[in-house]
Amino acid sequence: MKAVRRPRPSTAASEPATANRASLGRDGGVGGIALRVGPLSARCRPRVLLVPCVVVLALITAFIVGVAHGDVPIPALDVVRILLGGGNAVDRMIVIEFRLPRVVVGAAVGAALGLSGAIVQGIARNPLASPEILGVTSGAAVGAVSVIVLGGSYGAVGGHLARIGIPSAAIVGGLTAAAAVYLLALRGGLSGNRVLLVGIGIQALLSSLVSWLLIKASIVDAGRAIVWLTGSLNAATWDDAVAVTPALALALPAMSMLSFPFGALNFDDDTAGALGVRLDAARSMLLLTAVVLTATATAAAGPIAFVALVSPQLALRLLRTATPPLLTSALLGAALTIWADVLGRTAFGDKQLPVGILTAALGAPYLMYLLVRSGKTHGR
Amino acid sequence: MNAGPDRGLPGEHESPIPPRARLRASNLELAYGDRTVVRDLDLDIPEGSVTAIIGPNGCGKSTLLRAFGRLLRPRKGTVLLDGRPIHAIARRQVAELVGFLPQSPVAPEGITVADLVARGRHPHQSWYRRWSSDDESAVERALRRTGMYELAERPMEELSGRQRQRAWIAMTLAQETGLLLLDEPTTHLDLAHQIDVLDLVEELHAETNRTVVMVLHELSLAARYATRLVAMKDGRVVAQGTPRDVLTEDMLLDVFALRARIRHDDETGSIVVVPLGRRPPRRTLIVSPADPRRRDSDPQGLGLGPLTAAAPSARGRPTATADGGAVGWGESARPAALACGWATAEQSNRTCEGGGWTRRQAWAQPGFASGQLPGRGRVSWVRTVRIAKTRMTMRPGWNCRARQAG
Repeated sequence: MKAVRRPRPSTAASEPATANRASLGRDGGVGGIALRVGPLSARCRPRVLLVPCVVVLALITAFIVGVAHGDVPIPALDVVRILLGGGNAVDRMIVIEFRLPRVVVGAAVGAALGLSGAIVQGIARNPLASPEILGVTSGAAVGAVSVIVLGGSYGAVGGHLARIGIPSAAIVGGLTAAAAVYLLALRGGLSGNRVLLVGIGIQALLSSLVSWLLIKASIVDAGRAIVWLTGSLNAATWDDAVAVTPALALALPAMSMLSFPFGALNFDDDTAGALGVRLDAARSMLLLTAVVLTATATAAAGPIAFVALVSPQLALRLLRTATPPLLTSALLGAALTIWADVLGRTAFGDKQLPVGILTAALGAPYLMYLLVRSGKTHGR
Repeated sequence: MNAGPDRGLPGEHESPIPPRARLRASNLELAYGDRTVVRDLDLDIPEGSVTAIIGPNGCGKSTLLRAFGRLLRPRKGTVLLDGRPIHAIARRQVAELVGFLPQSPVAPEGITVADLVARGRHPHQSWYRRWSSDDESAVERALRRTGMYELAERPMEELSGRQRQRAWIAMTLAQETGLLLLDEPTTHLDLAHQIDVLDLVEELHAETNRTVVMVLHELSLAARYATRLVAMKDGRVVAQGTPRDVLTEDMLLDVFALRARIRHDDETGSIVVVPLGRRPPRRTLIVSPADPRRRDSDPQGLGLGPLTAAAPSARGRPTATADGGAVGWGESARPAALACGWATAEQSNRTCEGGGWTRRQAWAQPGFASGQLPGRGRVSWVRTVRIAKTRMTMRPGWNCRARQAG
């Protein structure tokens, strides 16, 4: 969006714009920059504009590094050249056929998880909430693990059953579990806490179902199931990318509309209602988006830990806003996932660690660092 | 719109005249699940009035206010906003007409005052038009009007209770509604800050003739700042009208079960409620012979003599006895041939104090024994005592009546 920086019209027009901007910090007032283009208008602080740009840079870097690293190292410049349509044929094939899907799926999955994490945390008004409490992840796990375990004996799941069966079962499982949570939590309106509690209950139920399936399974099947449960981009193909990116592409425009009531949902119900927000409708739409995003992301790469929990919190602290910022959370989720995957592939020699292990290992310390640091300065 | 000096003269930051709104509840029944909180309620909120709803905790004040704000769907009856059923109007549209501030609103953690107040513009915005110049000037006006302009960039957590309340009020002001519903805007504030907030409300009303409905617990403040009082009890309106008409001692006793004195302060013209607390009410005991012919009988000889002669320590202290609860009066706890009996178990809790008995012609008192004794007055002995939990039984041959002292 092209935006016009405008000085606050409330201050005298004769003053130079810089003076207006400088006075914001001192005498308070309605801070931020007003962006107005035709009928479009928004208000934000410089930080809210700058941080996403930085995150986008980090994301692009991660993208290139992720494509460049591997058994056959390809220089970053060549990667850029190939992505722009040049490069030699061998490198082209390695990049387009093998490396790129992995990075694209990683970015899409990370963005989907970061976005749905921000939605759920905002609606639950609880920084510890994540889409997992909607039952999606555990539902998807039940679906995927049952296909792996029950679909064939001794690791026989392969071919179409693996390519299509596991993701489909994951999506069906995730959506079913989320529908169950929704229906059970719906009584007398959707209240944040009720969704949370019902979700935790369903999640516990489904987790025990997964455990039972794992115990029932053969060692080989159980091993495959564990890998899936950790979350991995190893098997990522263009098919996965095709599955995830449309969901994300649909979600982003929806988000630009839904982020409007989303901001007001952070108040208590009465205040939000008095501001004219249709609480249940807004919550349902937002939760539906979060569920679809999480389900497709989980279907593509398994339940990658911590991205949904940590990205919104990181974004919140970097932007210093009151509500989890949706776009920045998505961008951070994507960057975090790709960096974690790159590290998992390259930092441990021959051992390739699944991305799920690294996201937790990277995200958790950084979140703790932010908590400690902000605790010292702001008491938050 | 020029940015004037902070908190300038009234009218300087006056918003364009907001749309008028007027509320009416008819035959209203409100419930949470199975629990009916408000029933058969009819109430009009006249345009341009400041109405304070008073009543004990749990009487349905806040519930009624939520229904007025279209936050609670009535089980029966309707709330009319400008003559239209409020639930037939879109929530957004109601939010442009009615501002509502809950009792303890919850702000997102870390939100700044400016952001909070800016959220008040929500009903005037849409997903693509989120910060028009109208929004900006309305927010700035609200910030200046509440004296929060200098604190606009501060997070809510760092503010004092008074500043926080002012920020919330600024948010509802930024909504620019002709009707303000405030649920206990003075909770958790000390007296000076309660006055501060209510002064602000009064000024807002005076400047733009906004209609204000607020729930208040401080009765004297309600009388001071409201043009109309509505007293509620058990989900019903018990009294409504001017503070002078509504705020009476009888109403307080009825609605709050509070014994209080109402004093009118001539200097300020305000009404002061002086609560009397748990000390039992004074009652007048009227003791008279059941047989009119015994009119000459003197309780003096029966143990009910004037207590003027009694020892101070004994005066007014009843002595309970175990045998059926007779009580004697006076220094010696004389056999209670005539006195009141106390028939319940917790005799030790009772207090009974007062002056001596006086002879009075009972027929002179309206409503007492009239017609029983045509032509001849009956002699009674009257005195005023404080009694808690009275249940009087008299010895045969005598009647005793307790009457609330005025």
